[in-house]
Amino acid sequence: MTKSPIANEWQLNGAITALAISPDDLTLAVSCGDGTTQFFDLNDATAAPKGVATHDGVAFQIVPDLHDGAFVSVGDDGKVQQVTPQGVTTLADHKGAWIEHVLVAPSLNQRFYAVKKEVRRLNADGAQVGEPWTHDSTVAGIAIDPKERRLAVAHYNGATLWWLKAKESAPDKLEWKGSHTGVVWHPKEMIIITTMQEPAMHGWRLGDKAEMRMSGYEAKVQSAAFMEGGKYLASAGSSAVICWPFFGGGPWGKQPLMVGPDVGAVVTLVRPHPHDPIIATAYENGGLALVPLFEQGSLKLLDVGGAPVTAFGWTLVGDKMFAGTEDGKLYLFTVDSVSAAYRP
Amino acid sequence: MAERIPVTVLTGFLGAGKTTLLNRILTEPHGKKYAVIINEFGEVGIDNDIVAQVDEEIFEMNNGCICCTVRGDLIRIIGGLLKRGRAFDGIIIETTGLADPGPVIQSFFVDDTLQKRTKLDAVVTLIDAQHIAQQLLDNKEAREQVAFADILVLNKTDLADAAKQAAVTAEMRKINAFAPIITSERSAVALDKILGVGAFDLARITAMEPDFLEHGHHHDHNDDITSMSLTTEKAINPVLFDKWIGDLAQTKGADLLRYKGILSMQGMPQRFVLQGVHMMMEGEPMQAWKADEKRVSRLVFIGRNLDEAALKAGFEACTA
Repeated sequence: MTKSPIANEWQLNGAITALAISPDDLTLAVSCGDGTTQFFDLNDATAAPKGVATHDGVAFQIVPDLHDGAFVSVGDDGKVQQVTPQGVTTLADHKGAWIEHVLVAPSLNQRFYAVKKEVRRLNADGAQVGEPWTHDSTVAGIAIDPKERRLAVAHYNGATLWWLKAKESAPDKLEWKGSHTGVVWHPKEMIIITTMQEPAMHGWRLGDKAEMRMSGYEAKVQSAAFMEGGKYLASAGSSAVICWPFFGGGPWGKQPLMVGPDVGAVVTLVRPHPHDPIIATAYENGGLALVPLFEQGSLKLLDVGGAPVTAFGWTLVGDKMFAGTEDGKLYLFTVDSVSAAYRP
Repeated sequence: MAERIPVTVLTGFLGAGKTTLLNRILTEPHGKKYAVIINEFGEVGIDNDIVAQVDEEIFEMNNGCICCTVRGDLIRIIGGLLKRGRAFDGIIIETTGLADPGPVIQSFFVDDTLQKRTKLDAVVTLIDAQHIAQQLLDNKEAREQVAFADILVLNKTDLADAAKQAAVTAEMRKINAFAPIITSERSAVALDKILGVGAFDLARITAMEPDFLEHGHHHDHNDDITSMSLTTEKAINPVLFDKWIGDLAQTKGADLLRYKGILSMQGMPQRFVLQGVHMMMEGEPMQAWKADEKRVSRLVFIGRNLDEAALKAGFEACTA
């Protein structure tokens, strides 16, 4: 490799804790340790970012809001903020209670967020929808099914599933002992997977309540994502990317694919490409690579030894990717810059 | 990878002076930044940049043969604090008066993020010299907080005369014969005595001289927590010891609060150092015994229902 695969890089203030790209691929929002959101215009690669003060502390998550150009940011100051390059509007303020999870459901025109043991909903005007949904312990992760009919909530000893449209319907409870730290839905089937505090993942197929237990990881699974239309579930937590097959009868009794280079550290983030069988993979020791699912070899994007990548995003068309690190570095990689670096 | 961030657990009953001590730590001109974790129902009035609240949620972990209760909220909060990058030099966890220190400590043993990024430094228990005698009689939590302490700070000594202090010290020593006791007024403790202690650092467990103030034991309380010490000058068989201590942790884990050992193993030129909390234990060979050094093995326990005779016999059988 003679050229660097990095197309551009910036040094921002404080750790980068989250980032998001608007669905029209025009705006990048980066949450920084100084409490600001830095906005980048993706049409203009050279322009300096515009910073907007967002939290009195750090953001834990930022997601595109109901309309392009706006984002919803949640953080440790207890605030749910709508933020644009022009400024910030407070949608909710829970006075210092950490808010770590937020998601936006366009077809319902609602935003969902978790505070302590509750999940709350806000409509497009910022008004609360209905009563908060409560759980027996702190909410650790939320995810909405692809058809936006159900919300899955991860917490101690299992997960709870809420109906989004039915007026009054009791939630379903799925039980498995332990601390469930996050949840993802299958993109096509009614299957949910939870990551846990121990080095394992758990899963349920809702139709017949069949359960899955994926274990053998070296460390906690900090990130998991479906890819290939749901055929595979890529997961962090080992030195290889562990990809479980979800076709031909599901993962039961099947061996996962184990892909990626051995960089001497555990995988912390996996971000599959929007369409292609390739996984952007971040490692605990600062390494970042593009790992193909079905081929040998991988493309190194960042050397080990730097600060770990803590936020990552692909554009929807899949031509650009951004990686933010714990020491405030933001990197842009493009299909062009990576090809140029690895051109034989 | 980056150095692990030290974590100090500050415990003690309401009114013992934790908030005053905490504010002293935060305002001293040492140039260090701390993240503070408090319970939402605990003492208020902490002046610091980074303060996070926890709600003391425990869950039970079943990890093969290890069963333990874990503070999931602490794991989550510390994980969240670590996302700020290198924003602080240390973490102080202030627990409420009713907190069980056991799950707090165990969380650091079982979570891989905490193991990699943080290191437990010490459990510092603050004692109200005026009220502790009654608290020890009435509250299991007060007894546990004394038992788990690496450092006991006998505070408010201006409100307790010498005789009372001596009596209180004797009561505490029945429970915890090993932690150094520092006295203070208005929480004015020299910070180097309670921070950077390295109490969980196997390399710094070099001597455990018990301070048994009296022989014989008066069993006044319902759930007696006592301290005991086992020694031998015979070298220990590592295979036998491994089985014995493993079985002990499995069967009596709930009653073993803390234990530490410096052992001379057969065939091992280094001292073997171990420590444990309930069923969780760790041990490693550490510094080599010097040529002219007398190799004495010592194993200490703080726990409930300690069957001294059985423990002594079991330990000695390991020297075969």
